[in-house]
Amino acid sequence: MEILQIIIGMSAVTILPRLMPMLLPIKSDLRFLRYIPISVFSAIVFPELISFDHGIVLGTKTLAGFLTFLVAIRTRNILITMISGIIILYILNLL
Amino acid sequence: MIFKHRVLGRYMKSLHDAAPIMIGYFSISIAFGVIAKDLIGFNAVLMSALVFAGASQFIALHMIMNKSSGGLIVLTTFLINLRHLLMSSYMSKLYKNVKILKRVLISFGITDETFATVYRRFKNGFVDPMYNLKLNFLCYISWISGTVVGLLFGFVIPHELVEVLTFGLTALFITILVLSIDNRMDIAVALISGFIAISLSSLGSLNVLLACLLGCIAGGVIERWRYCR
Repeated sequence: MEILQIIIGMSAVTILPRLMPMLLPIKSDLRFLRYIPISVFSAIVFPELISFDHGIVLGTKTLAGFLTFLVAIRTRNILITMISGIIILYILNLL
Repeated sequence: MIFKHRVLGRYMKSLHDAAPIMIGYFSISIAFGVIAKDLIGFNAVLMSALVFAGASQFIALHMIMNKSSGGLIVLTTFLINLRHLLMSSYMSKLYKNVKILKRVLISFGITDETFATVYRRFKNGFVDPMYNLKLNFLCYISWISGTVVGLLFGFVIPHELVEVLTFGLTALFITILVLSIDNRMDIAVALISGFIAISLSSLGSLNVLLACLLGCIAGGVIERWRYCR
């Protein structure tokens, strides 16, 4: 698919949930939607750090990820964590 | 506080509340522009302008990097941004007497951060659609301008660093994950979907979608089960 089509598609599916309730109110219980960001991010992050190929495979990224988690919990700041994560992985790769 | 805001005036209030978000959005969208530069070039500005949802834009880059199909990217975006239903329906109750055009414009600017800020005002009994519209607009502008800055000045970062840089994306996701966790249930959901995603990683990027669905279902089921007990 062309990048332009992807962007237009993304735009449409982002506007839809933002707009719909403004036009017609929703009555049902939507609380479970709250879990979406948590499960999406964890589903992206964990396979990046740990691979599962004939048993669990750990590497420098696993360690870097663990340390990055600690930084994130400590600082609760996106930019600081991004920069520290990059530096941590860079140093671990040098070792 | 009341005096301070009378001085600031109704029109300064939105700027006052938007400033911290604007700084955050500006710097994060610079990072978005830098990473997007080699992948999609100046289409990144279009994406920031039309999508205006940080998390899904970064995930889209991640998936483009992994050569995922466009359909899957759109589907994942849909899933991630479904949570805006929750915020939008909350707002629509408070704005039910507001003109439809205004409501539509406000809805486009709903993000986690703008909603959280407006919500704090709601709690103090302050409901003003124009304030909300201005706040959203200021945040929107800083998101787009940050993207442009990232694209223009991304070249200063050497090419060898790009592989390590993509880990910055992982670090970003880790932070958002940590920030969205409030209680033990959240941790359980995170572990369940993380484990499912690892187990299904042979399926490619589809694993994220499946893990998310199963994680949410698990969360809903456990919550109901605990509530009934």
